[in-house]
Amino acid sequence: MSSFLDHCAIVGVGETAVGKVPDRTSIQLHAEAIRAALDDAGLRLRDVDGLVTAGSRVSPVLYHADVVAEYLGHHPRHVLTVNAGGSTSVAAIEHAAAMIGAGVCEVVVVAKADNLATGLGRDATVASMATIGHPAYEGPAGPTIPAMYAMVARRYIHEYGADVTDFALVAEIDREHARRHPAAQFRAPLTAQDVLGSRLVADPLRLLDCAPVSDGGGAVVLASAARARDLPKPPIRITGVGEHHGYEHLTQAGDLTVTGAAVSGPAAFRAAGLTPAEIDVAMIYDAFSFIQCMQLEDLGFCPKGGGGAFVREGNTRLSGRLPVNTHGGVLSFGHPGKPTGLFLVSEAVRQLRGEAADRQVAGAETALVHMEGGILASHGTLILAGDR
Amino acid sequence: MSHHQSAPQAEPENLPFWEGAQAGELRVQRCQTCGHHQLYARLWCVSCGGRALTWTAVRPRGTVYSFTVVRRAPTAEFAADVPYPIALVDLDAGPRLMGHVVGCPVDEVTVGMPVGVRFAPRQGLLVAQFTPIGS
Ligand SMILES: [Zn+2]
Repeated sequence: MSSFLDHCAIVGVGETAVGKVPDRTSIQLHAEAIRAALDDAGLRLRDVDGLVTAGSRVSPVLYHADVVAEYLGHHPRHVLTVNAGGSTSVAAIEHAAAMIGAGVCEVVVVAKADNLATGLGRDATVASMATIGHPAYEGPAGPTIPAMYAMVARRYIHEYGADVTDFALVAEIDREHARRHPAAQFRAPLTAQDVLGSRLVADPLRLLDCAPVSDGGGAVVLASAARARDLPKPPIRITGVGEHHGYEHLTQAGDLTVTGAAVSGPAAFRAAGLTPAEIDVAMIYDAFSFIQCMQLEDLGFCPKGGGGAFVREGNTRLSGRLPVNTHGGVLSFGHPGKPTGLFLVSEAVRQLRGEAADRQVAGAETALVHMEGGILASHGTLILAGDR
Repeated sequence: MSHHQSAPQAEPENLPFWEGAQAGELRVQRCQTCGHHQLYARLWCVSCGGRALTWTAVRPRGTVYSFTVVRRAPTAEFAADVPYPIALVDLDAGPRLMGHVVGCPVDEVTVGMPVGVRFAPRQGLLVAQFTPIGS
Protein backbone atom coordinates (compact mmCIF):
# COMPACT_ATOMS: atom_id res chain seq x y z
CA MET A 1 0.00 0.00 0.00
CA SER A 2 1.56 3.29 -1.03
CA SER A 3 1.51 6.21 1.33
CA PHE A 4 2.78 9.76 1.58
CA LEU A 5 5.15 8.34 4.18
CA ASP A 6 7.06 6.49 1.43
CA HIS A 7 8.55 9.71 0.10
CA CYS A 8 10.47 10.83 3.16
CA ALA A 9 12.78 9.72 5.94
CA ILE A 10 14.09 10.96 9.25
CA VAL A 11 17.67 11.97 8.52
CA GLY A 12 18.78 13.87 11.60
CA VAL A 13 18.07 14.15 15.32
CA GLY A 14 19.56 16.32 18.02
CA GLU A 15 19.09 17.65 21.51
CA THR A 16 20.47 20.35 23.74
CA ALA A 17 21.55 19.67 27.29
CA VAL A 18 18.48 18.59 29.30
CA GLY A 19 17.87 19.33 32.97
CA LYS A 20 18.79 22.69 34.43
CA VAL A 21 20.31 24.84 31.69
CA PRO A 22 20.34 28.27 33.33
CA ASP A 23 22.51 29.98 30.73
CA ARG A 24 20.13 29.41 27.84
CA THR A 25 16.85 31.04 26.80
CA SER A 26 14.07 29.14 25.05
CA ILE A 27 15.02 30.52 21.64
CA GLN A 28 18.72 29.74 22.14
CA LEU A 29 17.73 26.17 23.00
CA HIS A 30 15.72 26.01 19.76
CA ALA A 31 18.73 27.21 17.78
CA GLU A 32 21.08 24.73 19.44
CA ALA A 33 18.72 21.79 18.94
CA ILE A 34 18.27 22.67 15.26
CA ARG A 35 22.03 23.00 14.80
CA ALA A 36 22.62 19.63 16.48
CA ALA A 37 20.02 17.86 14.32
CA LEU A 38 21.30 19.43 11.08
CA ASP A 39 24.88 18.46 11.97
CA ASP A 40 23.65 14.92 12.61
CA ALA A 41 21.92 14.92 9.21
CA GLY A 42 24.93 16.35 7.39
CA LEU A 43 22.79 19.27 6.20
CA ARG A 44 23.11 23.04 6.47
CA LEU A 45 20.59 25.65 7.49
CA ARG A 46 20.23 26.83 3.90
CA ASP A 47 19.03 23.33 2.92
CA VAL A 48 15.95 23.71 5.14
CA ASP A 49 12.76 24.71 3.31
CA GLY A 50 10.29 23.88 6.10
CA LEU A 51 10.35 24.75 9.83
CA VAL A 52 7.76 23.63 12.36
CA THR A 53 7.87 24.69 16.03
CA ALA A 54 5.42 24.51 18.91
CA GLY A 55 5.88 27.72 20.90
CA SER A 56 7.33 28.45 24.30
CA ARG A 57 5.53 28.58 27.62
CA VAL A 58 8.36 30.64 29.12
CA SER A 59 8.64 33.21 26.31
CA PRO A 60 5.29 33.20 24.52
CA VAL A 61 5.12 35.01 21.18
CA LEU A 62 2.36 35.23 18.59
CA TYR A 63 4.07 33.56 15.63
CA HIS A 64 6.67 31.39 17.23
CA ALA A 65 8.16 29.54 14.25
CA ASP A 66 8.60 32.84 12.42
CA VAL A 67 10.48 34.24 15.41
CA VAL A 68 12.74 31.17 15.41
CA ALA A 69 13.38 31.51 11.66
CA GLU A 70 14.25 35.18 12.13
CA TYR A 71 16.62 34.34 15.00
CA LEU A 72 18.31 31.68 12.86
CA GLY A 73 18.71 34.18 10.03
CA HIS A 74 17.16 31.72 7.63
CA HIS A 75 13.68 31.90 6.11
CA PRO A 76 12.29 28.59 4.81
CA ARG A 77 9.37 28.78 2.35
CA HIS A 78 7.14 26.99 4.89
CA VAL A 79 7.14 28.13 8.54
CA LEU A 80 4.44 26.99 10.95
CA THR A 81 3.70 26.95 14.68
CA VAL A 82 1.63 23.99 15.90
CA ASN A 83 0.29 22.68 19.20
CA ALA A 84 -1.35 19.43 20.21
CA GLY A 85 0.12 19.28 23.71
CA GLY A 86 2.36 16.33 24.50
CA SER A 87 1.47 14.57 21.25
CA THR A 88 2.54 17.57 19.12
CA SER A 89 5.68 15.81 17.92
CA VAL A 90 3.77 13.07 16.12
CA ALA A 91 1.36 15.56 14.56
CA ALA A 92 4.23 17.83 13.50
CA ILE A 93 6.26 14.97 12.03
CA GLU A 94 3.17 13.71 10.19
CA HIS A 95 2.65 17.21 8.83
CA ALA A 96 6.29 17.46 7.77
CA ALA A 97 6.09 14.08 6.04
CA ALA A 98 2.93 15.16 4.24
CA MET A 99 4.56 18.40 3.05
CA ILE A 100 7.48 16.38 1.71
CA GLY A 101 5.19 13.72 0.25
CA ALA A 102 3.20 16.42 -1.53
CA GLY A 103 6.38 17.84 -3.01
CA VAL A 104 6.00 21.18 -1.25
CA CYS A 105 9.15 20.81 0.85
CA GLU A 106 12.35 18.81 0.61
CA VAL A 107 13.93 19.26 4.06
CA VAL A 108 11.73 20.03 7.07
CA VAL A 109 12.95 20.63 10.63
CA VAL A 110 10.62 20.04 13.57
CA ALA A 111 12.08 21.78 16.62
CA LYS A 112 10.89 22.33 20.16
CA ALA A 113 12.56 23.72 23.24
CA ASP A 114 11.75 25.48 26.46
CA ASN A 115 13.42 26.42 29.72
CA LEU A 116 10.62 25.64 32.16
CA ALA A 117 12.90 24.77 35.07
CA THR A 118 14.94 27.96 35.17
CA GLY A 119 12.91 30.34 33.00
CA LEU A 120 9.58 29.75 34.72
CA GLY A 121 10.40 27.64 37.78
CA ARG A 122 8.65 24.63 39.15
CA ASP A 123 5.86 26.39 41.05
CA ALA A 124 4.92 28.74 38.23
CA THR A 125 5.00 25.81 35.79
CA VAL A 126 2.62 23.84 38.01
CA ALA A 127 0.36 26.89 38.33
CA SER A 128 0.37 27.60 34.59
CA MET A 129 -0.44 23.99 33.79
CA ALA A 130 -3.41 24.04 36.16
CA THR A 131 -5.17 26.34 33.67
CA ILE A 132 -5.83 23.27 31.53
CA GLY A 133 -9.04 22.78 33.53
CA HIS A 134 -12.22 24.31 32.09
CA PRO A 135 -12.17 27.87 33.51
CA ALA A 136 -15.72 27.71 34.86
CA TYR A 137 -16.54 24.04 35.38
CA GLU A 138 -13.19 22.57 36.44
CA GLY A 139 -10.73 25.30 37.43
CA PRO A 140 -12.59 26.38 40.59
CA ALA A 141 -11.95 22.91 42.08
CA GLY A 142 -8.19 23.55 41.98
CA PRO A 143 -7.21 20.47 39.97
CA THR A 144 -3.46 20.22 39.41
CA ILE A 145 -2.20 18.24 36.43
CA PRO A 146 -1.13 15.41 38.79
CA ALA A 147 -4.61 15.52 40.36
CA MET A 148 -6.28 15.04 37.01
CA TYR A 149 -3.97 12.17 36.09
CA ALA A 150 -4.51 10.78 39.59
CA MET A 151 -8.24 10.52 38.92
CA VAL A 152 -7.46 8.48 35.80
CA ALA A 153 -5.12 6.27 37.85
CA ARG A 154 -7.74 5.80 40.59
CA ARG A 155 -10.36 4.63 38.10
CA TYR A 156 -7.79 2.37 36.37
CA ILE A 157 -7.03 0.77 39.75
CA HIS A 158 -10.75 0.45 40.51
CA GLU A 159 -11.65 -1.27 37.24
CA TYR A 160 -8.57 -3.38 36.57
CA GLY A 161 -7.02 -3.92 39.97
CA ALA A 162 -3.90 -2.11 38.81
CA ASP A 163 -1.20 -1.93 41.46
CA VAL A 164 0.80 1.12 42.50
CA THR A 165 3.86 -1.08 43.04
CA ASP A 166 3.86 -1.77 39.29
CA PHE A 167 3.60 1.96 38.62
CA ALA A 168 6.63 2.49 40.85
CA LEU A 169 8.49 -0.18 38.91
CA VAL A 170 7.98 1.81 35.69
CA ALA A 171 9.90 4.67 37.31
CA GLU A 172 12.62 2.27 38.49
CA ILE A 173 13.11 0.80 35.01
CA ASP A 174 13.14 4.23 33.37
CA ARG A 175 15.88 5.21 35.82
CA GLU A 176 17.84 2.04 35.13
CA HIS A 177 17.88 3.02 31.46
CA ALA A 178 18.67 6.68 32.17
CA ARG A 179 21.75 5.54 34.07
CA ARG A 180 23.08 4.32 30.72
CA HIS A 181 22.39 7.62 28.94
CA PRO A 182 25.04 10.29 29.51
CA ALA A 183 22.59 13.14 28.79
CA ALA A 184 19.67 12.04 30.98
CA GLN A 185 18.64 14.52 33.69
CA PHE A 186 18.34 11.94 36.49
CA ARG A 187 20.99 9.24 36.73
CA ALA A 188 21.23 8.43 40.45
CA PRO A 189 19.96 4.97 41.40
CA LEU A 190 16.20 4.79 42.03
CA THR A 191 14.15 1.82 43.19
CA ALA A 192 10.42 1.17 43.25
CA GLN A 193 10.69 1.34 47.05
CA ASP A 194 12.04 4.89 46.76
CA VAL A 195 9.04 5.81 44.61
CA LEU A 196 6.59 4.22 47.06
CA GLY A 197 8.32 6.06 49.90
CA SER A 198 8.11 9.49 48.27
CA ARG A 199 5.37 11.82 49.42
CA LEU A 200 1.85 11.75 48.03
CA VAL A 201 1.18 14.57 45.56
CA ALA A 202 -2.36 13.56 44.57
CA ASP A 203 -3.51 10.11 45.67
CA PRO A 204 -2.52 7.58 44.45
CA LEU A 205 0.35 9.40 42.71
CA ARG A 206 3.56 10.13 44.60
CA LEU A 207 6.26 12.65 43.82
CA LEU A 208 8.45 10.13 41.99
CA ASP A 209 5.52 8.88 39.90
CA CYS A 210 5.49 12.34 38.32
CA ALA A 211 7.77 13.79 35.64
CA PRO A 212 10.23 16.53 36.55
CA VAL A 213 10.14 20.08 35.19
CA SER A 214 13.15 20.59 32.93
CA ASP A 215 14.97 22.84 30.47
CA GLY A 216 15.97 21.52 27.07
CA GLY A 217 15.17 21.16 23.42
CA GLY A 218 15.15 18.71 20.57
CA ALA A 219 14.91 18.71 16.80
CA VAL A 220 14.21 16.17 14.09
CA VAL A 221 15.09 16.63 10.41
CA LEU A 222 12.98 14.99 7.71
CA ALA A 223 14.04 14.91 4.08
CA SER A 224 12.70 13.56 0.82
CA ALA A 225 13.67 9.96 0.14
CA ALA A 226 15.81 11.13 -2.80
CA ARG A 227 17.68 13.63 -0.65
CA ALA A 228 18.02 11.13 2.20
CA ARG A 229 19.92 8.69 -0.01
CA ASP A 230 22.89 11.07 -0.32
CA LEU A 231 23.25 11.80 3.39
CA PRO A 232 25.83 10.22 5.70
CA LYS A 233 23.52 8.54 8.22
CA PRO A 234 21.17 5.69 7.25
CA PRO A 235 17.68 7.08 6.65
CA ILE A 236 14.99 6.02 9.12
CA ARG A 237 11.66 5.43 7.46
CA ILE A 238 8.30 6.28 9.00
CA THR A 239 6.20 3.26 8.12
CA GLY A 240 3.11 4.04 10.14
CA VAL A 241 1.44 6.95 11.88
CA GLY A 242 -1.79 7.26 13.83
CA GLU A 243 -3.49 9.98 15.84
CA HIS A 244 -6.48 10.26 18.11
CA HIS A 245 -7.92 13.40 19.64
CA GLY A 246 -10.71 12.54 22.04
CA TYR A 247 -11.37 15.57 24.25
CA GLU A 248 -9.65 18.48 25.92
CA HIS A 249 -11.38 18.86 29.28
CA LEU A 250 -11.40 15.87 31.60
CA THR A 251 -15.13 16.21 32.36
CA GLN A 252 -15.82 15.71 28.63
CA ALA A 253 -14.02 12.35 28.44
CA GLY A 254 -15.94 9.10 28.64
CA ASP A 255 -14.21 5.95 29.85
CA LEU A 256 -10.93 7.17 31.34
CA THR A 257 -9.40 3.70 31.53
CA VAL A 258 -9.01 3.24 27.77
CA THR A 259 -6.81 5.86 26.10
CA GLY A 260 -6.70 7.13 22.53
CA ALA A 261 -3.67 4.87 22.04
CA ALA A 262 -6.25 2.15 21.39
CA VAL A 263 -7.08 4.05 18.18
CA SER A 264 -3.80 5.70 17.18
CA GLY A 265 -1.80 2.50 17.78
CA PRO A 266 -3.83 0.15 15.58
CA ALA A 267 -3.96 2.84 12.85
CA ALA A 268 -0.16 3.05 12.86
CA PHE A 269 0.21 -0.74 12.88
CA ARG A 270 -2.20 -1.08 9.92
CA ALA A 271 -0.25 1.50 7.94
CA ALA A 272 3.04 -0.25 8.71
CA GLY A 273 1.67 -3.72 8.07
CA LEU A 274 3.06 -4.85 11.42
CA THR A 275 1.75 -6.33 14.66
CA PRO A 276 2.87 -5.36 18.17
CA ALA A 277 4.88 -8.59 18.40
CA GLU A 278 7.07 -7.36 15.54
CA ILE A 279 8.25 -4.21 17.37
CA ASP A 280 11.82 -4.42 18.70
CA VAL A 281 11.91 -1.34 20.93
CA ALA A 282 9.29 1.17 22.10
CA MET A 283 9.32 4.72 23.43
CA ILE A 284 6.16 5.44 25.39
CA TYR A 285 5.43 8.85 26.86
CA ASP A 286 5.21 8.49 30.61
CA ALA A 287 4.85 11.89 32.23
CA PHE A 288 3.26 9.80 35.00
CA SER A 289 4.43 6.27 35.72
CA PHE A 290 1.04 4.51 35.43
CA ILE A 291 0.23 5.79 31.97
CA GLN A 292 3.02 3.66 30.54
CA CYS A 293 1.06 0.60 31.74
CA MET A 294 -2.22 1.83 30.26
CA GLN A 295 -0.65 2.72 26.92
CA LEU A 296 1.22 -0.60 26.68
CA GLU A 297 -2.20 -2.23 26.92
CA ASP A 298 -3.96 0.08 24.50
CA LEU A 299 -1.17 -0.23 21.93
CA GLY A 300 -1.69 -4.00 22.00
CA PHE A 301 1.54 -5.15 23.65
CA CYS A 302 -0.44 -6.92 26.39
CA PRO A 303 -4.07 -7.54 27.31
CA LYS A 304 -6.16 -4.74 28.84
CA GLY A 305 -5.39 -4.60 32.54
CA GLY A 306 -2.13 -6.49 31.98
CA GLY A 307 0.21 -3.50 31.73
CA GLY A 308 1.44 -3.78 35.30
CA ALA A 309 2.16 -7.50 34.95
CA PHE A 310 3.90 -6.87 31.62
CA VAL A 311 6.26 -4.46 33.37
CA ARG A 312 6.64 -6.71 36.45
CA GLU A 313 7.62 -9.67 34.27
CA GLY A 314 10.61 -7.69 32.99
CA ASN A 315 9.45 -7.25 29.41
CA THR A 316 10.24 -3.54 29.31
CA ARG A 317 13.78 -3.84 30.65
CA LEU A 318 16.74 -3.58 28.31
CA SER A 319 17.03 -7.37 28.47
CA GLY A 320 13.29 -7.90 27.98
CA ARG A 321 11.05 -8.78 25.07
CA LEU A 322 10.15 -5.13 24.42
CA PRO A 323 12.66 -2.69 25.88
CA VAL A 324 10.77 0.54 26.63
CA ASN A 325 12.17 4.05 27.03
CA THR A 326 15.82 3.13 26.70
CA HIS A 327 16.76 6.82 27.19
CA GLY A 328 15.09 6.96 30.59
CA GLY A 329 11.57 7.97 29.59
CA VAL A 330 9.85 11.21 30.47
CA LEU A 331 10.35 10.42 34.16
CA SER A 332 14.15 10.26 34.12
CA PHE A 333 15.43 11.69 30.83
CA GLY A 334 13.68 14.99 31.50
CA HIS A 335 10.52 16.91 30.68
CA PRO A 336 10.83 20.43 29.26
CA GLY A 337 7.21 20.28 28.00
CA LYS A 338 6.52 19.80 24.32
CA PRO A 339 10.17 18.93 23.41
CA THR A 340 9.82 15.74 25.45
CA GLY A 341 8.10 13.88 22.62
CA LEU A 342 11.03 14.59 20.30
CA PHE A 343 13.38 12.89 22.77
CA LEU A 344 11.36 9.70 22.25
CA VAL A 345 11.77 10.04 18.50
CA SER A 346 15.51 10.72 18.64
CA GLU A 347 16.09 7.74 20.94
CA ALA A 348 14.14 5.47 18.57
CA VAL A 349 16.18 6.76 15.63
CA ARG A 350 19.44 6.11 17.49
CA GLN A 351 18.30 2.59 18.36
CA LEU A 352 17.48 1.88 14.70
CA ARG A 353 20.84 3.26 13.58
CA GLY A 354 22.66 1.16 16.15
CA GLU A 355 23.99 4.30 17.86
CA ALA A 356 22.58 3.72 21.34
CA ALA A 357 25.87 2.59 22.87
CA ASP A 358 25.43 1.03 26.34
CA ARG A 359 21.67 0.91 25.95
CA GLN A 360 21.55 -0.51 22.41
CA VAL A 361 18.86 -3.10 21.77
CA ALA A 362 20.70 -5.67 19.67
CA GLY A 363 19.48 -5.83 16.09
CA ALA A 364 16.63 -3.33 16.56
CA GLU A 365 14.94 -2.87 13.18
CA THR A 366 11.48 -1.61 14.13
CA ALA A 367 10.53 0.94 16.76
CA LEU A 368 7.26 2.32 18.06
CA VAL A 369 7.01 5.83 19.46
CA HIS A 370 3.87 6.85 21.30
CA MET A 371 3.01 10.11 22.99
CA GLU A 372 -0.01 11.77 24.53
CA GLY A 373 -1.05 15.30 25.37
CA GLY A 374 -3.37 16.99 27.81
CA ILE A 375 -4.83 14.55 30.30
CA LEU A 376 -4.45 11.56 27.96
CA ALA A 377 -6.59 13.59 25.57
CA SER A 378 -4.57 13.58 22.34
CA HIS A 379 -2.47 10.65 21.16
CA GLY A 380 0.07 10.06 18.41
CA THR A 381 1.85 6.87 17.39
CA LEU A 382 4.76 6.48 14.97
CA ILE A 383 6.26 3.28 13.69
CA LEU A 384 9.82 3.64 12.44
CA ALA A 385 12.06 1.26 10.54
CA GLY A 386 15.76 1.22 9.94
CA ASP A 387 17.47 0.18 6.75
CA ARG A 388 20.00 -2.11 8.34
CA MET B 1 -0.31 34.26 28.92
CA SER B 2 -1.04 34.29 32.60
CA HIS B 3 0.95 32.10 34.92
CA HIS B 4 -1.92 32.02 37.37
CA GLN B 5 -5.04 29.95 37.34
CA SER B 6 -7.86 31.69 35.50
CA ALA B 7 -10.66 32.94 37.68
CA PRO B 8 -13.87 31.15 36.77
CA GLN B 9 -15.67 32.94 33.98
CA ALA B 10 -19.37 32.52 33.45
CA GLU B 11 -19.58 32.98 29.68
CA PRO B 12 -22.97 34.21 28.47
CA GLU B 13 -23.58 30.82 26.84
CA ASN B 14 -23.44 29.13 30.25
CA LEU B 15 -25.30 31.76 32.27
CA PRO B 16 -28.39 29.57 32.76
CA PHE B 17 -26.20 27.08 34.64
CA TRP B 18 -25.00 29.76 37.06
CA GLU B 19 -28.46 31.30 37.37
CA GLY B 20 -29.65 27.82 38.26
CA ALA B 21 -26.95 27.60 40.90
CA GLN B 22 -28.19 30.89 42.39
CA ALA B 23 -31.70 29.43 42.49
CA GLY B 24 -30.42 26.23 44.10
CA GLU B 25 -31.01 24.20 40.95
CA LEU B 26 -28.67 22.02 38.91
CA ARG B 27 -29.39 22.82 35.26
CA VAL B 28 -28.08 21.12 32.14
CA GLN B 29 -28.58 21.79 28.45
CA ARG B 30 -31.16 19.38 27.01
CA CYS B 31 -31.57 18.42 23.36
CA GLN B 32 -35.23 18.56 22.36
CA THR B 33 -34.58 16.18 19.48
CA CYS B 34 -32.85 13.25 21.19
CA GLY B 35 -33.04 14.09 24.90
CA HIS B 36 -29.24 14.20 25.36
CA HIS B 37 -28.04 16.26 28.32
CA GLN B 38 -24.81 18.22 27.99
CA LEU B 39 -22.52 20.55 29.94
CA TYR B 40 -20.88 22.91 29.02
CA ALA B 41 -23.32 24.66 26.70
CA ARG B 42 -22.98 24.44 22.92
CA LEU B 43 -24.86 25.76 19.94
CA TRP B 44 -25.91 22.22 19.04
CA CYS B 45 -26.27 18.77 20.57
CA VAL B 46 -22.97 16.86 20.42
CA SER B 47 -24.93 13.59 20.29
CA CYS B 48 -27.30 14.20 17.35
CA GLY B 49 -26.43 17.66 16.02
CA GLY B 50 -29.89 18.98 16.84
CA ARG B 51 -30.09 22.72 17.30
CA ALA B 52 -33.21 22.86 19.48
CA LEU B 53 -31.75 23.08 22.98
CA THR B 54 -33.26 24.14 26.28
CA TRP B 55 -32.04 24.31 29.85
CA THR B 56 -33.63 21.97 32.30
CA ALA B 57 -33.27 21.42 36.05
CA VAL B 58 -32.17 17.88 36.91
CA ARG B 59 -31.99 15.92 40.16
CA PRO B 60 -28.78 16.98 41.91
CA ARG B 61 -27.55 13.43 42.38
CA GLY B 62 -24.67 11.46 40.99
CA THR B 63 -22.00 8.83 41.58
CA VAL B 64 -18.26 9.31 42.11
CA TYR B 65 -16.57 8.11 38.89
CA SER B 66 -13.13 8.80 40.31
CA PHE B 67 -11.40 11.03 42.82
CA THR B 68 -8.09 12.15 44.23
CA VAL B 69 -6.87 14.03 47.26
CA VAL B 70 -4.75 17.03 46.31
CA ARG B 71 -1.85 17.39 48.73
CA ARG B 72 0.13 20.01 46.85
CA ALA B 73 -1.87 23.09 45.83
CA PRO B 74 -1.58 24.43 42.27
CA THR B 75 -1.67 28.08 43.37
CA ALA B 76 -1.51 30.11 46.58
CA GLU B 77 -5.28 30.51 46.63
CA PHE B 78 -5.67 26.78 47.27
CA ALA B 79 -2.81 26.45 49.74
CA ALA B 80 -5.07 26.69 52.79
CA ASP B 81 -7.37 23.98 51.42
CA VAL B 82 -4.90 21.07 51.16
CA PRO B 83 -5.49 18.22 51.51
CA TYR B 84 -8.71 18.50 49.51
CA PRO B 85 -10.60 15.74 47.70
CA ILE B 86 -11.60 16.38 44.09
CA ALA B 87 -14.04 14.05 42.39
CA LEU B 88 -15.38 13.45 38.93
CA VAL B 89 -19.07 12.77 39.42
CA ASP B 90 -21.36 11.21 36.84
CA LEU B 91 -24.73 12.87 37.30
CA ASP B 92 -27.76 10.59 37.18
CA ALA B 93 -28.83 13.00 34.42
CA GLY B 94 -25.73 12.21 32.32
CA PRO B 95 -23.01 14.88 32.28
CA ARG B 96 -19.86 14.58 34.38
CA LEU B 97 -18.91 17.30 36.86
CA MET B 98 -15.69 18.07 38.72
CA GLY B 99 -15.70 19.50 42.21
CA HIS B 100 -14.66 19.16 45.83
CA VAL B 101 -16.13 16.51 48.06
CA VAL B 102 -17.20 17.98 51.39
CA GLY B 103 -18.97 16.59 54.42
CA CYS B 104 -16.80 13.53 54.99
CA PRO B 105 -13.17 12.89 55.97
CA VAL B 106 -10.82 13.07 52.96
CA ASP B 107 -9.92 9.39 53.26
CA GLU B 108 -13.54 8.23 53.12
CA VAL B 109 -14.24 9.19 49.53
CA THR B 110 -14.67 6.10 47.33
CA VAL B 111 -15.32 5.29 43.69
CA GLY B 112 -19.02 4.55 43.24
CA MET B 113 -20.07 6.62 46.25
CA PRO B 114 -23.47 8.25 45.76
CA VAL B 115 -23.33 12.00 46.22
CA GLY B 116 -25.58 15.01 46.16
CA VAL B 117 -24.64 18.19 44.33
CA ARG B 118 -24.85 21.57 45.98
CA PHE B 119 -23.41 24.97 45.21
CA ALA B 120 -21.03 26.94 47.40
CA PRO B 121 -19.38 30.31 46.83
CA ARG B 122 -15.80 30.32 45.57
CA GLN B 123 -13.84 33.07 43.83
CA GLY B 124 -16.99 35.10 43.25
CA LEU B 125 -18.95 32.26 41.70
CA LEU B 126 -21.09 29.47 43.01
CA VAL B 127 -19.32 26.22 42.28
CA ALA B 128 -20.53 22.65 42.44
CA GLN B 129 -19.61 20.61 45.51
CA PHE B 130 -20.44 17.03 46.34
CA THR B 131 -21.68 15.57 49.63
CA PRO B 132 -22.04 11.87 50.45
CA ILE B 133 -25.60 10.61 50.71
CA GLY B 134 -27.30 7.50 51.99
CA SER B 135 -24.49 6.13 54.12
ZN1 LIG C 1 -29.54 15.49 20.37
